Amino acid sequence: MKIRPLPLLIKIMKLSIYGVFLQIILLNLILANDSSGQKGSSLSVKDVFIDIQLKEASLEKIFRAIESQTEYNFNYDKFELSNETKMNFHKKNVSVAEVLLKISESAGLKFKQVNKTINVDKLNRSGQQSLEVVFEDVDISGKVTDENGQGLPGASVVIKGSGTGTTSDLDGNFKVNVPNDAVLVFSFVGYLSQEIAVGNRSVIDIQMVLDATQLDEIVVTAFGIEREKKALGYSAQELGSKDLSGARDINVTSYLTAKVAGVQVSKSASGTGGSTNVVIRGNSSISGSNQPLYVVDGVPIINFSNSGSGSGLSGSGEHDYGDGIGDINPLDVQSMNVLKGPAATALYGSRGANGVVLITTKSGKGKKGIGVEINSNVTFEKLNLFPNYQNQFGSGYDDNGVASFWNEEVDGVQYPFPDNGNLDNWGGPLDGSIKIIDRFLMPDEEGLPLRTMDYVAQPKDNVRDFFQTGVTISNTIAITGANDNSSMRLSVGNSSTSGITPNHEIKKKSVSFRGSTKVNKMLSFEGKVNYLRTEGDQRPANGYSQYNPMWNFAIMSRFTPLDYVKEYYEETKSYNRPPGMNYSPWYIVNEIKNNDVRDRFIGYSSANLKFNDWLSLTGRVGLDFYAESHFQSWRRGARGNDQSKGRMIESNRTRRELNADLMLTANKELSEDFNLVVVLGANTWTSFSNNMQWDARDSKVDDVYQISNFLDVRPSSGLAQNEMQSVFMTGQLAYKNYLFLDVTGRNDWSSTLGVNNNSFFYPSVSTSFVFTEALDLDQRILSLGKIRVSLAQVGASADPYLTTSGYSFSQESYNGKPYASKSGQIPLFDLKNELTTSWEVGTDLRFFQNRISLDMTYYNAKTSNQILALPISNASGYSSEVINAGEIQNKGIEITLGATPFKTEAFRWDVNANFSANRSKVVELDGTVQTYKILNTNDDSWSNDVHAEVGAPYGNIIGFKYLRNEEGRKIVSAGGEYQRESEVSVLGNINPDWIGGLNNTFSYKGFSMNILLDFVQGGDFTSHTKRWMTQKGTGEWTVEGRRPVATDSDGNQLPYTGVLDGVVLNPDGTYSENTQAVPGQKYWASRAWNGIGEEFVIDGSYISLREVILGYTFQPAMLKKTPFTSLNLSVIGRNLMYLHEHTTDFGIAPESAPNTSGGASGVEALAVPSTRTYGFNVKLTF
Amino acid sequence: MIRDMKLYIKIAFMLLVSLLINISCTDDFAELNTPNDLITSDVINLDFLFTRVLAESIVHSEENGMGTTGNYCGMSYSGANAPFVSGDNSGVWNRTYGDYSRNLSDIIYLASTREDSEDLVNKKAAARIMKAWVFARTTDWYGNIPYSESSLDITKAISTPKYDSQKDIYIDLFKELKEAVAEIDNSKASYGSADILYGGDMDKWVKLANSLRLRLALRIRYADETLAATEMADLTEANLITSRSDDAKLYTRSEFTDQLNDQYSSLLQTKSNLAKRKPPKTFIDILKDSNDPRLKVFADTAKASFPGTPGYESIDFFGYRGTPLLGSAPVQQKYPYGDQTTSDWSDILYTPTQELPIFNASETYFALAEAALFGLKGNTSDAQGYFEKGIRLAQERVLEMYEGAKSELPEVESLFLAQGGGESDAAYLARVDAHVESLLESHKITQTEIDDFIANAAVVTLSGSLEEQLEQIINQKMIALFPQESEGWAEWRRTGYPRILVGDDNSALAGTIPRRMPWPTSEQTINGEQYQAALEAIGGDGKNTRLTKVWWDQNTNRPQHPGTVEWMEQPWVQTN
Repeated sequence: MKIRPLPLLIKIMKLSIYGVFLQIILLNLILANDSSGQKGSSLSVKDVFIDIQLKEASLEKIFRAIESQTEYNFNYDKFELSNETKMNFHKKNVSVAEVLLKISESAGLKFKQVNKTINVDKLNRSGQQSLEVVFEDVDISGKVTDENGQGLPGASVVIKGSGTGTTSDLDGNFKVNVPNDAVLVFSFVGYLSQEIAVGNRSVIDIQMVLDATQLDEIVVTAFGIEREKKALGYSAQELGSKDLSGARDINVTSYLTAKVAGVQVSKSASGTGGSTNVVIRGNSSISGSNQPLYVVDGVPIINFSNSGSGSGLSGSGEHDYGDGIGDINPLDVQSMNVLKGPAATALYGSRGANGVVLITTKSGKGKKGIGVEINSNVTFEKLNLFPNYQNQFGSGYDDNGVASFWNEEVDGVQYPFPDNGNLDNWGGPLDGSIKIIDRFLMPDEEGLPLRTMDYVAQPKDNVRDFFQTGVTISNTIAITGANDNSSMRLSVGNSSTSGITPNHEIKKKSVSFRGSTKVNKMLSFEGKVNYLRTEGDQRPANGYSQYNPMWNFAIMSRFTPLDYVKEYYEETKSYNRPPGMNYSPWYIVNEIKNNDVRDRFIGYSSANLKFNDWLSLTGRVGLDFYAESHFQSWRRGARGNDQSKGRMIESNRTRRELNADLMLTANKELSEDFNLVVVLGANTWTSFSNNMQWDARDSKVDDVYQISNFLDVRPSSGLAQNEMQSVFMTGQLAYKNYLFLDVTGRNDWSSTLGVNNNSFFYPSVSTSFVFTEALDLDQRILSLGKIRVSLAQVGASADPYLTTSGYSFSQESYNGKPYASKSGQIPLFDLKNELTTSWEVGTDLRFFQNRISLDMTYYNAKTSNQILALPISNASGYSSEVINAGEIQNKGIEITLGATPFKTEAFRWDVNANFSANRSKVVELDGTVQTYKILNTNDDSWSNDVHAEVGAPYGNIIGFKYLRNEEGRKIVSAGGEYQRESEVSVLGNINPDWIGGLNNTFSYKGFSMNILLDFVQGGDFTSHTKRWMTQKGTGEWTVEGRRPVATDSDGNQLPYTGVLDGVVLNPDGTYSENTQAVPGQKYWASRAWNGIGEEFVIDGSYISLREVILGYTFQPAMLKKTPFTSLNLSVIGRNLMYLHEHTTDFGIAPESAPNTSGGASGVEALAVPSTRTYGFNVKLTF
Repeated sequence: MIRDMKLYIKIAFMLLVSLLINISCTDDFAELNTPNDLITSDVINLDFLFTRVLAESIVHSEENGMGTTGNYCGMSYSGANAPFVSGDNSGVWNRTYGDYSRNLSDIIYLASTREDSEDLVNKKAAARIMKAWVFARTTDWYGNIPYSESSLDITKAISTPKYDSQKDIYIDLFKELKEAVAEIDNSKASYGSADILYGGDMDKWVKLANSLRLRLALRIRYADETLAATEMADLTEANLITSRSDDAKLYTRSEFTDQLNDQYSSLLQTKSNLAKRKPPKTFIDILKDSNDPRLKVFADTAKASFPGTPGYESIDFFGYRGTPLLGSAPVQQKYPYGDQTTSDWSDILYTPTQELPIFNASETYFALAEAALFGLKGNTSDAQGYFEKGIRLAQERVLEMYEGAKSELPEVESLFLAQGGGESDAAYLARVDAHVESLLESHKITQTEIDDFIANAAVVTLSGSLEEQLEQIINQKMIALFPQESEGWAEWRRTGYPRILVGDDNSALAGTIPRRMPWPTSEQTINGEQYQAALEAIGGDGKNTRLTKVWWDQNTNRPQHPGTVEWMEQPWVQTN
């Protein structure tokens, strides 16, 4: 379905001509060999000489002799050949023509050479030409398509052995005039070359197959500079359309999961629409963000984090409002490239210090006319691992019925009365042997005489019923259009997701317009406008907060009938507090509202001025702006002083980042062997953000959430701005296409540093040596071998306002007298930049024509002069001190292995594996302070905080171990409980020992199947689900060691059964085996009560079946009668199951960090349960 | 084409130049990196700092009379195992260092360095007195603490401050209080109304400083009697807090959550579902044994029957019955101290406006009585007179509390009493009113009762050995100190009184009451070297515990503690 008005057609033709012209020149440059000007590979019989020694030879024998010495084939009818004719030849170095002419005379035959075929016929009449040499060409036309059936423009079509050929046009069509015996070689960057013998065909349609190994891959590097991958002196890994196929998650970073060596992607366990944490090559900044810079179409975007701070773990119940990168519509993404080390990212300066993820969105370029692309998918999200609740014991203590309840009378008999407090589940068995007062009354039953209920267990899976199946529907429609001077793409995306928690919804809309136009040969413009809207509703609360349903479930009495809790809410719509619960989960998700809206514009415009064929100037201005508002409300009567009279919090945030670049690029071939590229550039970056919040309490009219309806309104505001100016240069020198040298340098001036230290410079140098080409090695086994080495520095700037100190006013006052307080942070007036110095070596090896590829990197980086607000002993009078001193070191290896173990015409099996291991070490803090608390759980009774400790790896979990004797046996107290050591020690580390991914792709004709496994070995976390369920006796594991019944049939007390494994200290200092049997709460809960953090640290290793995609792509031929040009259907499964983990007993997913702040991966805090996702995807173009 | 080219080059050149100009323009960086709303030290009003620190340190302190520390002097009962759970108790530490000491030191620093420092002497003196109070409490909790290297000016701050010995700290606190009094000059400006404690009356600040010196001197008398006597020597009754109008106290307020009475706050949240807090056995028994009229103001009688327990079916009224500290003895072995068999704190303590004192006149007299009795100051014969005055002032304070509660009780009771389904508003209000009336009647205290008590009660007369007289003084003093839990705990540690009964089953403390609070765990990691040095100073590993004594806790004559709680099968026996 293509519209081709005439003017467009003319323009397109013009463009095609230019394109073809350019391609031919290029091809000639690259491929031209000693062409004689002939078409085809054949030589005339006049030019081919043979030795011939034959006696009395038949014609057939002569023909065979000629055939044996030349490329020619004789074509004749056996029966037409006279068998009588026998001839003698005794000649050396005689031309074939001469021989044929002789035969013609003797046998009355005529010969016609068509290319390599010599046709033999009878010479019917004299005068006829007896030897004719014709080089006959055939016209071959056809279409080159990509893996999706889309026309592939600019593909080269070359006649094998000749170096001549053509390229496909904008639709992928080509037409070439070739000898009919020719073999055509189709090739295109990123695809496997294919050879097709022309044979008798006049039409050749060919679908190109992506080259998994991509030998001459072009990668986009800093500032959009396209480079051949083999020229890179550092590690970069690109994900092309194949890796990005299929919809997986509404967050684009999920594409990176388990695919890129050295990249760890962790999703916040805050339900759908939450943020993601991406760390490349380990954490290099102790206190700052360790997330990479995201650059979309050359313009850095803001990857703000709205996931709350670590303090949300305890109490406040923060919501994860998603992150900046999560706004990007995954279906607009064409490719992603991960630049890992400083050498790769040096040109991005400070903000690229943690690596850069370059995202290229789809554009209309390269597709003539108007095309439409539709991508639709539906996915379903279901519970995966779920906490295991016990169902045998009820509220109380001492395994003893309900002895701690007080009694009320019903019909003259006293029955236990369950209180409203948080009743621990250390009571008697829920076996129905006793009755208790029924507290589970509907409103109309209140005030009636008390009644009793059986003290029994509830259905084991009752908590699961609270959750629902999440559904995501997402659609993107894109229209592309192009002519020879302009191209554009307009896409409209829409997705709506409902989470597994009731009422949790995320809606996203995106409109993206990207276009380019060429004014004339010199001047061209390009631009993009992307509007993004994200709406969130009832995002679940994090942490062990009363607003988190999972916390309420973890601590509730196990005899609580959840059906009742739900019904009660539905009946009354009011806050109620069933015994043992803080909040009814149904009330939380329905009545305590939170919603958020973000409107965001990302755009850029650029102009390129091409002075001549080697010098050009590009100017670009990019803007990322968003306005966001968050709303929360509590109805009158909600728990807590602050909201008991109704409350609303509204906050509005705006943020703006402006990037302006100017780049002068020179790309010149200095001689046959040397090529030089030099870029000189300058950049200005300004950032502005403003937050306004109104916290309003005490409503005049219930359920009206307008600020003016509240009596007590407390506004607060926060403003931050900063600016950075930079100049940079990069130079690339290439020698003979096998030795490459890159040098970069950048100087930044940052407003956030001390006035005398605000300028800083950092260089990098990298080199790549393709030894297989340099040494001209046999490429049949080792197809490509490359060694790369780089050395780089990157400076990083600071957050604003670390150089000043002052006083703050507060909302509060006493008797109208104003309050002010001195800031607790000691500023650093002479703040300097952070500096990362790194080196890396790597090799890139391809074997057996790319059937196997191996990429290995070793890197070593240290970041010094760390800027951090170091929490110091508050006994100093201050809470933190800005320092410029810390040093952290990261070193590690990355290995990527690609292989095609099996390959036939129809079937193909590709394997891609990656492995990486990073080792970090905190070398120094400020010299006096030995540890920095990365994550403060703010839990007074016991902590398990995450620290950066001098001499240790980043991310140690610090807390209390069990008290043990010299032999390592746990010491049980006189009271029969475990105890903790008096001082804290290291309980684990949050970083995995290694991570890896294994991706298998099977393709058979149009079918493909993709299986991705995600491996993580090591990496510990503290589980607060385990902690609370151990403390409250709700976990299934707490059944062990409890007395199943309290009394025997005669009513006598039975002894306790739980004896803790350990020893007791005798008065003489020796130890003897513990024999004291204790009740459940001493056996289990005391581990939490006594703050033994060690008990709750879990090994986070896992193997996850991350994704399975089964797809079918219709062959272009099958779609001929439809309006579609391509059609792809796939079934998607994501996070299907864990093949290995250490958390089954507790029912927690090993990846359950509640948010993405530093160190948070070391904590699981009553996470939203883990889920598996499956669904369908349809992608079609026409 | 050529013309175009020239134009483009011109544009390109201009762009380059403009960008370079922009880059060289970093002059505004300093301004850019200063928050628009920054308030700097040259403009800050000291009054704002002082008001806040007064309100925060007094109103927002943990001293509410129903906390954990009160368990250690029989003043409160916090339930469950709370008093015995090990772990950080870093509240006082964090508030002192994270807030009060920084702001008070800053006032002192600014008042001494500003150009008009001569006119700021009174503001400086008041800040020094408050700072002494703050640090005295902190060292009483934790023993040796960072002091001389703490809270220095921001340009000289020491991030890893050393720990000073408690003795050195006390010596400096005496010096500070003395110097502060000396520099007070009534001709110079005071904080005026920003001084929410005394309204700018510097004479009262003198009294507070001197009274604090008296308190601290008495506290160290077992550790350094000479120093105690020396410090007391130049104090006269005239310049001490000796009347209710001198009392250093603030009141809780409803304006902000942080300033609410904790009890009222809990009530607001949970309303009729509120599980009321319990007064401890020690507190109740002291009042009950002497028929003290204050008992009915402070506490309710136990209300429920307890028919479920064999042997106790017939008991349906427990009267005033305090809750002892039981530890974690198995429930079935315990004497039945269930919810309904012990007294609750009375509703009078739930009213929004509660007095939060840091020094009351009654304490002055109890201190003078003890000092006189032991020859530190005045004559032994003065002791009885002081003692009586102390009791009278303490009684009258409770009368004031009762009178003050009258107007606020209706609101409190309407929170306690849920409106029944179908009950009309009028009927509900009438029910609340009737309830308030009966409460005011049953919890009533009158001046006559007080006069009568002082005239007739046996406990008002000191008798017996010196040690017995001390016990009588401290028992009364503890009641008078309510709700200053830290002070009560310090008295118990110093003297061993009042006697407290503790269940014998609490693993962490083996049936004993804490003698100090361990330094926060964070110090071990964040101030490691100084922490280790401090640990060595108190005896090394295993000493950062609750059982390690602070310097002034050196009374060798303390009564044996604790006794055991009676079991079901045993009669109630008051053991040591």
